[in-house]
Amino acid sequence: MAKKFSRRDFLKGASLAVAGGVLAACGPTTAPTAAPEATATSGVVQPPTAVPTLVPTAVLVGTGTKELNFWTQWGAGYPDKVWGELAKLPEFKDYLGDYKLSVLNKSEDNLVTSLAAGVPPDCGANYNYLDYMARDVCLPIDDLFAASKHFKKADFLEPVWAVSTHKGKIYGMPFNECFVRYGMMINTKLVKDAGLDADKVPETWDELLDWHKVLTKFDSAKNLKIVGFDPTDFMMDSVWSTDGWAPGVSWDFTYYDEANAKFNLNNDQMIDCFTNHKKFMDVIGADNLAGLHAAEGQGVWGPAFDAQVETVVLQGYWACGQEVVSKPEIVPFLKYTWIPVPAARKGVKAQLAGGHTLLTFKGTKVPEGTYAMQEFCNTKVASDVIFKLAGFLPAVKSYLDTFDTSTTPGLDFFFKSSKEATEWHGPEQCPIVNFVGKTYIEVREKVARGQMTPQEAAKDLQDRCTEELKNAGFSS
Amino acid sequence: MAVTTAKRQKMSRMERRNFWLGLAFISPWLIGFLLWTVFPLVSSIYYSFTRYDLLRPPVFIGLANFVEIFTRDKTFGVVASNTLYYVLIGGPLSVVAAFLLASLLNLKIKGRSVFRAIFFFPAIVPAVVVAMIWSYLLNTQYGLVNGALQAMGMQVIRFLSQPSLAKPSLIMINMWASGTAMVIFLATLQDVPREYYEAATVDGANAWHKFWNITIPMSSPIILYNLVMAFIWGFQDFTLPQLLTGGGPNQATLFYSLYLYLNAFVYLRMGKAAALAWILFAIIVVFTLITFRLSGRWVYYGGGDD
Repeated sequence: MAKKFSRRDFLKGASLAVAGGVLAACGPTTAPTAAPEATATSGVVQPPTAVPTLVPTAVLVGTGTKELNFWTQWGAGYPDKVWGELAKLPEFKDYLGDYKLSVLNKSEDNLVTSLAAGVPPDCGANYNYLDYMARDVCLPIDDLFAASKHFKKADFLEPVWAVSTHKGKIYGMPFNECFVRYGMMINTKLVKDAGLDADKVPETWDELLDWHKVLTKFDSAKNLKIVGFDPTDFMMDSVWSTDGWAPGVSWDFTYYDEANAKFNLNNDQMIDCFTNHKKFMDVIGADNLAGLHAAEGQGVWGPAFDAQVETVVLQGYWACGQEVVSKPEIVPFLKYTWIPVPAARKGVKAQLAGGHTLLTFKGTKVPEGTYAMQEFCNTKVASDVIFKLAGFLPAVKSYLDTFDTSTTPGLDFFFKSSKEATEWHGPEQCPIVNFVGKTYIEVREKVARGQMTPQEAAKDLQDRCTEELKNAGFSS
Repeated sequence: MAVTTAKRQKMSRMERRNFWLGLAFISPWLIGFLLWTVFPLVSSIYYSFTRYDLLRPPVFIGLANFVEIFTRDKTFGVVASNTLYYVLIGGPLSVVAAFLLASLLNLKIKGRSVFRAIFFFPAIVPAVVVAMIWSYLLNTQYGLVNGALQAMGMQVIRFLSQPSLAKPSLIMINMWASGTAMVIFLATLQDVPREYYEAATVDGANAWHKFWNITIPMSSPIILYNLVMAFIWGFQDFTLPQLLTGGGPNQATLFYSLYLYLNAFVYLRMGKAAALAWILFAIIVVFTLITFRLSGRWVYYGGGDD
């Protein structure tokens, strides 16, 4: 008698078929088509995929055999436009001829996760460098730099070394985007429209406050329409280990003593800074400013200045090139000058040099390659390309001395400031800089809303940062 | 009298075969569950007792994270009160809104299916899109809502930029997106026996009497379910506050999940973040238990005494 095909048999067979299908789908795919070799003219090898995707894809440059993975947060355009052009330079072959670079935009979260998982890239730039140097996940380059035939430490702006030096070791050279960070950017059209003399720019916070009161405008429903000076935007926003901190530059104090792992936030300068902040915010209204930022861009660093609803902000040298790209129609109205200082320091021309570096992560098989990238990017030809396509300037003194500032309106101020500054600052290197920044923003808002006095705010900031430094294991 | 002792029966060959076959078929899920649920869960318990920044090996510090959170972390109090406000007010409100909507959509009206689709639609819109839409609608200067208010000669409302209004605004947005609960209520309402309403009509009950004495009690188990889900979801809500307000203004919308994220990925305090996660778990468990304990007073189970 023929065996009947039961329901159980059917289910077994169907399950086996499904399982087989799943295993087949998980199996190795066929090898991808080899990417076209770079031509002598292009130097750029693009992956063979044509599928549009929102996930950033790596830009491959170079024809060497050694792979070098480079991650950055410098945004769309930097991997393909900048490195696409850099790869065409004859010097690229001299420095990086043995390498095939993969340049990829990746967020800080991605980098931290990759490091935690033990699969980091070979190198990275435009990240919170001290987080990685302080936690010993990078390789120092002292030996390679000491053996360099091309560069010496004195060739670079001295304060920028603070960004890539930790506990006496150098972890990277100044890379791509360095130079001075502080200037006051003024929309002179709005100044003149308000009846002020755009040639008599404020030098102190009190003078700027007088401008601010005239420049800040509301509509009939008391909505904020134009801000005179935004005390929370751009370089007033927070504190960074690459760009320093505006209060420290303006009031001349160092907020963190790296050698002794101690904070210096509860001092007269910080109190004065908070008091000053409240004066500006009293004119604007805390709720009004929050609403304005939400309108013109999500939060700070938004396009409010381009939309001409902010008249005066503190910005770095990069603003000159960025405004040419983002809002060329207002560039003729822009004026740059020194950042304001307290009245007692009138006449002080304060400046800070900061910038970026390239960190080489432990586990890399190509440390010489990542070092060669740094030397290459600091050559004149590479620096020209980087400035032309990204607006970034290196920290190489000889390059800066011969740079033609007429190419970009406003840049002459920043170059002049590098010669004429009477007071120089460098960015402090604090291992919990993110916490300091967030807490500073929090207590600053409380002062603005009258929930804390400036004295209480300074003490609170000091206490909480000191506590966090201990809890994070950086002090006892 | 002979006493028979129960002996553990050995599995027959067939039963053993079926057991291993069953295990084999569920192994993909089981492996995934162990790897991506159980292992991270157990790991996070361990990390909550360590100082761990993802970049260096964890250092065991005992209960220090928990002690810090409960005794020295000034922000924790703010975060806890914000979250409790959001959950205790937002949760019940969204359930009430969903229930009322479902009640209306249960009426025999023309185009009912169209209305059901329209009211369910917000529930399937991605959270990022919801955030973008509402940030423009509620904007103080240029938003549609304030534009309409100004056109009527009224004062603008600083929905997301005034600390006292930011949380209520987020609650309102969540009520708008309560389509999932609404659908569940709709199914429940359609299951209420018609005879009860007919009997009530015969006894002279009006619409309100029927709603209060029949509809709500018969739906109470699902109301309980949606309420518990709303509480659990409210404790863990991250996307809208992060995108709309970033925790501001003035920490008014700094909720638990946002604070946990800050500690984990911005401050690199993964150990403390793990401790926060387990504290949240404990809070949610306690909340759920209290809710179920109190439910005995108002939930009607038609099937019997539970």
